[in-house]
Amino acid sequence: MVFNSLFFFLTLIPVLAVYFATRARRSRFAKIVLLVYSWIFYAMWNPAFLTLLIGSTVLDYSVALGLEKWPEHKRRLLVISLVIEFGLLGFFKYYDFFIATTASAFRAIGIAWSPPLLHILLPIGISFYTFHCVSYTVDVYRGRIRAERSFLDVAVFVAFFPQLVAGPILRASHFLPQLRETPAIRWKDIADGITLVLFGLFLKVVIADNVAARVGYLFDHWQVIGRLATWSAAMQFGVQIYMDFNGYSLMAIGLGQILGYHIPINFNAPYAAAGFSDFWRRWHISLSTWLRDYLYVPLGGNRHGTARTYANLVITMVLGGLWHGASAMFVLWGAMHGAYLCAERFARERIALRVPLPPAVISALLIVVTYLTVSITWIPFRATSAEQCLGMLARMFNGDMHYDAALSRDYAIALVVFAGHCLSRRYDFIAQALNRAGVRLVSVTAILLLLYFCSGERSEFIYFQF
Amino acid sequence: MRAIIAGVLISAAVVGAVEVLFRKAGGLPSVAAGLTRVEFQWKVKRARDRDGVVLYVVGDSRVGWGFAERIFNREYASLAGSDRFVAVNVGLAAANVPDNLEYILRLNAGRPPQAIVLNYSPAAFYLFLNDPGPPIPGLKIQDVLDDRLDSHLAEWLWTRGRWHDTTAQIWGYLQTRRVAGSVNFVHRTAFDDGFVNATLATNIGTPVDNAAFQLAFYRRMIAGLSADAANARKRRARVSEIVRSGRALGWRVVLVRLPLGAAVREVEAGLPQDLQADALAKALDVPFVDYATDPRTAAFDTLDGSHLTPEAARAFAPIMAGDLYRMMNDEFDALDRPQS
Repeated sequence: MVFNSLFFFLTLIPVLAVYFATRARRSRFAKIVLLVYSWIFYAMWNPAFLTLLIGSTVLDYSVALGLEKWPEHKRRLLVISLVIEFGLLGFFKYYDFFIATTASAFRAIGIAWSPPLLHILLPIGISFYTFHCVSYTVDVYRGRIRAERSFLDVAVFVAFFPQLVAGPILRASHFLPQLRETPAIRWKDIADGITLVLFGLFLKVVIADNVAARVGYLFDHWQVIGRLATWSAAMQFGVQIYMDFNGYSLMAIGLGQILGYHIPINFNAPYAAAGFSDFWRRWHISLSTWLRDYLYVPLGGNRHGTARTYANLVITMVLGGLWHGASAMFVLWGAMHGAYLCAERFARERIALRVPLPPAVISALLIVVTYLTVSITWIPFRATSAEQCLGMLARMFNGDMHYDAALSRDYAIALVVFAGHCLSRRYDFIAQALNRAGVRLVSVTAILLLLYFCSGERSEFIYFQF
Repeated sequence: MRAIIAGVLISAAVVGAVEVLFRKAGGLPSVAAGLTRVEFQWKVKRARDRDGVVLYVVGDSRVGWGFAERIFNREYASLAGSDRFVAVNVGLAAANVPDNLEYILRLNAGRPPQAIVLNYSPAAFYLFLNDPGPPIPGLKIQDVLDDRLDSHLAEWLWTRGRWHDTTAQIWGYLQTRRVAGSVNFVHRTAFDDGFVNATLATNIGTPVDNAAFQLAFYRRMIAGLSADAANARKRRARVSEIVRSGRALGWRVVLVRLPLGAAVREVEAGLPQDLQADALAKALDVPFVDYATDPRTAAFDTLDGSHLTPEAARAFAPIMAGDLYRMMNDEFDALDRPQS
């Protein structure tokens, strides 16, 4: 199921009614209701893939208990769990990609090999729930949390519908303790949750879906557009993906809050980042912290010298890119971000720049440079072929400067979003809407009217494909 | 929470006021007069994924309103003694036949060939432009349910998602204080037998003479097509090319013309000879059954001269099933045999 639909809200209402009626006295039953709805929510895409979700849950529930019961075999158990979890992810998501890439490599050295491709359907959300499961098993292995005895709690943690298919990626250490308690829900929590859901719907339905058509047009006509339009394509896609993904995240957080559970934020005005490490502290926070804790740090982080640190940064970002999808374009996107992070680290550690400008001006320049540089990386992220990607990247620096009226609108939208992010470094508008009744009233009214009159053509959330 | 409730009430009041003003200004709902694109894509996707032989019945709203697929399937199954042959009504309102054909063939690429029953209508072959749109990624049952909800709501909330139309209509009314008369489809109804129809209505409450409206439309259309026959021939050539490529892959194709009112049939006869149904069948080199002149079906009732009534659609399906069984069952049966 998707959030941006009437059908979802119509089915949610009776579920919420049963949940609230039973939550206080029969909390176990309320959790079963949540679990069943979460599984139905997932099965609406393809019921067959529900078995994978349940299989992953059973596997990691059992492995976690085994880790505590047989500590002498804990390494072996962890390896089994990781091999199965990443094996499934690899098979469904990367099998065709790796086979095709290997065949291309063979062809390049003159060996003709045409292996069959399976054209496997990707189970929705597999990247997200695999990371949930892995974080749970690894945390139990490391002794950071105890293995959960209740299968119901583990199953709800893995399948919790607000964040099941597109995050934010939950940590067991954060969420399982919440499931053990009966959540205390106040009217304020419900009101805040509803407000967040409305903000999320607004970002997705009113902004992202309306920008999507223009983005599609610019990327479809990449061969004939000029330099300014190519930059506009990159920036517009930056707007679209932020609004789309942050919209989903806000809805997830809001729905969690209505149900009495806290889900951490996933975005914090990323286009106002002053530097690339700052960008990754603000963009898809649950993924970047997951990669830091479960990949970058185990690889050695910055503990083994400069060269290893740079290598670890690039490996982490390339794998982060590959997590998004089986495509060389995502690898390039990750590699670009890895290179940016290395360059930033090098500049900070090795080049002692002394610029005779006030810190505020330096910070503003850094924000603009980071925004423009990050915008470049949206080209490989959105491009559908290497030819398109390289062609558009070249055109950003080498195309003609043709300007037309539609570009004014594009740049105005990008500028408003950019300015909004910069302002939110000082002024958190959503926090204002949650804490001041007047702002909430105006926001809710405006959003409801915009949702009613100005919805764009309904489309899937971009992150569902990952 | 009070702020949210107040916000909902204020929004409802504003929406209500705009809805009233829109109606007063002569606005009309936006209802798909037949299958929607989501329904079309869903039906093709489901048909593609099933075992057996699928007969895609392709055309415009004449198919969408007039082909009772479930009755056809029951009849065909009883004649063939097997339910492995299933017809699917994919008649899209104002359909552009070449695009719809291409969509079906592309979605079935790499799969065993199936069968297509093309319904001839000059508008669908030579004029209309509605296509199924790009395949919706991850199309699922929820999208269809949402689409149904949207279709129902469109009957009640006329301004929903129509900011531009709404402001233009109201602004025009406020400028002139006059309502320009217009006609549109309302009351979209989906029938259990597998077809959909709608009703014509005016924005000023006057009754619509459906037959006269359709006849006027077809007169204008045939005059236009006759004046610009070169363009119609280009579209015919495109259909021929698509049908030829489908047949080269093993697809079976049949051309039919569903029953029509006599007046519309007479108007359509004014088209240049090479654009008529029988000439088209020859050009495509496919069997042709003309139910518009067939004595068994020629007098079937229509709603407006162009579309069958629900009762006629129900009566027509078994006749077509019997004919196709007699003419084509060996061919369809061959599709069902494993390829060596």
